Amino acid sequence: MRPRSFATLKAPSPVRALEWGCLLIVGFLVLYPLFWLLLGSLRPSPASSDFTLDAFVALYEADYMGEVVWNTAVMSVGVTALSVLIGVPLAWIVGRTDTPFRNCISMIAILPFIMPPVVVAVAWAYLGTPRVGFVNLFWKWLVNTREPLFDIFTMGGLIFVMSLSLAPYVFIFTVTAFRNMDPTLENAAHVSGANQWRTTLRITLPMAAPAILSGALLAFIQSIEIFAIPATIGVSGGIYVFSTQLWRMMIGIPPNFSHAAALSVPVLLVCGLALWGQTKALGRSAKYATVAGKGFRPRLVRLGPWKYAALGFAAAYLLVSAILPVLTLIYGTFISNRGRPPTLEFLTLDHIVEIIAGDGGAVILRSIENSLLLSFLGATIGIALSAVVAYFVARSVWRGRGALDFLALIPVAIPGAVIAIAMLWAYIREPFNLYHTLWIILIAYITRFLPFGVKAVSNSITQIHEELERAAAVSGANWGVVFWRILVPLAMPGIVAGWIILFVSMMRELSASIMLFSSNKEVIGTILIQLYDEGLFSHVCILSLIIVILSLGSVALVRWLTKQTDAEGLT
Amino acid sequence: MQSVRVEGLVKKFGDVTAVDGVSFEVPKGRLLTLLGPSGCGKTTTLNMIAGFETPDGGDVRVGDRLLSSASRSVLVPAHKRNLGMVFQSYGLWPHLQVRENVAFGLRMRKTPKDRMERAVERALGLVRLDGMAERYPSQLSGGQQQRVAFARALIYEPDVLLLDEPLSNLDAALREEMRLELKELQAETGITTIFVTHDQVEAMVMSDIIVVMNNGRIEQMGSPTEVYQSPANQFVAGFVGVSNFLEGEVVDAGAGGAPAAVRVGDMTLFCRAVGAPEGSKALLSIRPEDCVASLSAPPEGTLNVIRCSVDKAVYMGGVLELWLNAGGRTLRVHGHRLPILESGAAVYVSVEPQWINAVADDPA
Repeated sequence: MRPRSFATLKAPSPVRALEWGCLLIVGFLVLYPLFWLLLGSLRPSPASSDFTLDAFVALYEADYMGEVVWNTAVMSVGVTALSVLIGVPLAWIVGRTDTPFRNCISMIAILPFIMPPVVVAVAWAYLGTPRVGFVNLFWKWLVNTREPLFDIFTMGGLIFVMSLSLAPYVFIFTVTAFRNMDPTLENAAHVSGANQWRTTLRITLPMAAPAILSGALLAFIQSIEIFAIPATIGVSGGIYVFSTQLWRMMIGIPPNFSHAAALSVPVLLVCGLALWGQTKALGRSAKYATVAGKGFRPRLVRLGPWKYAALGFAAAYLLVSAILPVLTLIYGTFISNRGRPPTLEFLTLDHIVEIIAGDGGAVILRSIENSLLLSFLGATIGIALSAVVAYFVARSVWRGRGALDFLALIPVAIPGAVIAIAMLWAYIREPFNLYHTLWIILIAYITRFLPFGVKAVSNSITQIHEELERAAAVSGANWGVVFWRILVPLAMPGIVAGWIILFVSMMRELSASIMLFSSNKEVIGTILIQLYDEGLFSHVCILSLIIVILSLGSVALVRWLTKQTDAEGLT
Repeated sequence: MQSVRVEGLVKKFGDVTAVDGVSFEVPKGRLLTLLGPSGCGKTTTLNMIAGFETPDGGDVRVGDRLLSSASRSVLVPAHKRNLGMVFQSYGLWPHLQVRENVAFGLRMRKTPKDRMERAVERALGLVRLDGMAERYPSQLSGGQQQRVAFARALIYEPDVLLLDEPLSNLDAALREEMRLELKELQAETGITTIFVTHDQVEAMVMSDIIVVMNNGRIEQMGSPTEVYQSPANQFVAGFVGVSNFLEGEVVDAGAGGAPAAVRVGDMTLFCRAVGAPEGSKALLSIRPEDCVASLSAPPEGTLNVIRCSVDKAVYMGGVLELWLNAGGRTLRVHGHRLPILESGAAVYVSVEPQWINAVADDPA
């Protein structure tokens, strides 16, 4: 008998073609620039096709390099340590003690999203200047002295401000571990004769160790990657680290492309190694989460009067990381002149009017326009790509899915500045010629934030029972129909949340933009740094406040969307 | 409505052979059950019929249509197989109303709107869910959700209905009710059905044919009575219902309807004819409920009387569950109309020869 239907074995071919297409796009986005970065480090200039180790030799011999490496190392290690010292106690207070208002304190988890590094950086630059910084002014008034309390433009200040930004990463990972810990393990220690402190030190903390390590390594990667804080606080104090050194190479005339590429390579290796360690630690941490999905309450430690000390610690952190900076921004937005007391007679809307209507505002409005355009396009293209990648990674039986998963994670380990350098090497030439265009920034954004988009969508997809797709297939729906009519609607909250995350991240991106922008092609982040350098206090505050409000609104929207998902009971 | 023929299906996951040469046929309009413990390959077999797993060997045919054949490189994708399926957790789409869920298959078949609406009404009527069309799945009870899943699977009149443990998510009382309802629904629509379950009672109640599977292979295939009363081997006898197993040696193979005789220790038991020659080993299977336990000796001439002492007696309500010691062997027996017995009490057990089966020793 002749079989009625012929079809190739394994998956239907259009789907396989899509999978290949998806792998090729992601592979190209991630690997093509990295390939050029490596090649670029061996070439004297982008126009040349010679091979040489000159760039590495020059960097090795450069007298400033020793200082840059030392500064970067001190800063990164210092920031990682301080972030753990802030993040772990906060996680313990929120997750395992009876400290009052601990639900409010747990909002620390979303701080990095509301207060991006660039905002924290400029706010603390205004708060911590030795002569006229608000904190120092308050100190001088309080104890009636002429000596400032501290100088923010030092290595100590740099580590302090960066840790404010990065402690939440340690907090998030650690608090999750504390919350998922099986209380019987601690009860067993108590029964065996260990008191509260010994149980915490011998059982609770070691069990949370992989999670703490995982958060610490992420903070470490971020400390190398963040540009805004070294560029404001570091540069003002004459402290150059890796990211600002790269920037210095690129703003030279002419920009030194090959030195920048050569400097990027070892940093890329360090970050890649840290990311590898981070995923390992995270895997181990998941194994320690002994109780998953069961309704249980972790043991809460009764702190007695100490709970007010714990509350004070958390409040102090919130004060310096969020409240003081935001107050500074509000003050700067509405005060007529810096230094005036915030009384009614000195409050004004002039600065806002000036940005909207005045001459100086044109460049600001143009940067907002550019950012809106880039972020809208970038988030839309990025989330569409993320959705397909997340789907294949979660559901495909194809061998290539592992490669796809891995490729889509790589950008986490690439500092924004390094992506930018790689982009320049890759797209400055034929057949792209994207130098000094908005397109190169767009591609950089999509590549940089792809892992976040994939994460957001895959969180949604893994919650969708596979039977829902199979039921549609058996009812006669082909792959495309299953994807559009079943999967996309069900994953929509995750897709929208992912879109918002990408949009906001792109709106305030700085590390890559600062290397890629050109005149007329400014974005919000670069203009903010420019205004800061020009000392335009009120303009910086207004723009920063816009970023904070935008971020706050998006967080609220994402939270609402996630709640909607939970309410539908998609489990 | 079509027959289903499965020939030599094989599925490997790495080094593990999940399904190892499974063949069976479901005649038109019949209900066949794949019964076995978890991991026996029954769900994998169903998934290969549905088109969710690619077989490493063997053919699947519905009617005279070849759906998949490893040797001929045929693999019709799931959405072109025209099968209906009800899933273990129903797989109702939470973002679509009941009406949309049920109509989905017709929509895929580009059915005109008015016909589709009439069909939805009819299908919902069939599963007694009239008036529920506007609800969302989360607004329905477990039993109602299950009925929606059936309506959705049946509405486009598929060639075959596949059921993947559809009752396992229901509580005990509802499961019993749905079992009968499902059987009636199948009879009413006359649809050829393949049903996967690990619950032997479900299989007994619902099936025309039971296929007992273990370790990826078929252990026995037959009607519920055949499988229960004449288990082919120790696995089947032990998995379907409860059995006592006694090892012995064939004394008389029995012929022409005469019972066979098997020596077990120092007693001789008469049983149904065995396929094995005299002198060979045999494994006898006796179901607890086929034994008659009494305190006094049965009348002279009764066959297969075993004298036992009570090891343990547990009162279960209707029956007295007895663990007896029969010359060093443990025998489980359901006692009826007996007082609660102390351990050590003497009991006579008799079994009619037709209820004793010689089962093949497990080949493994």
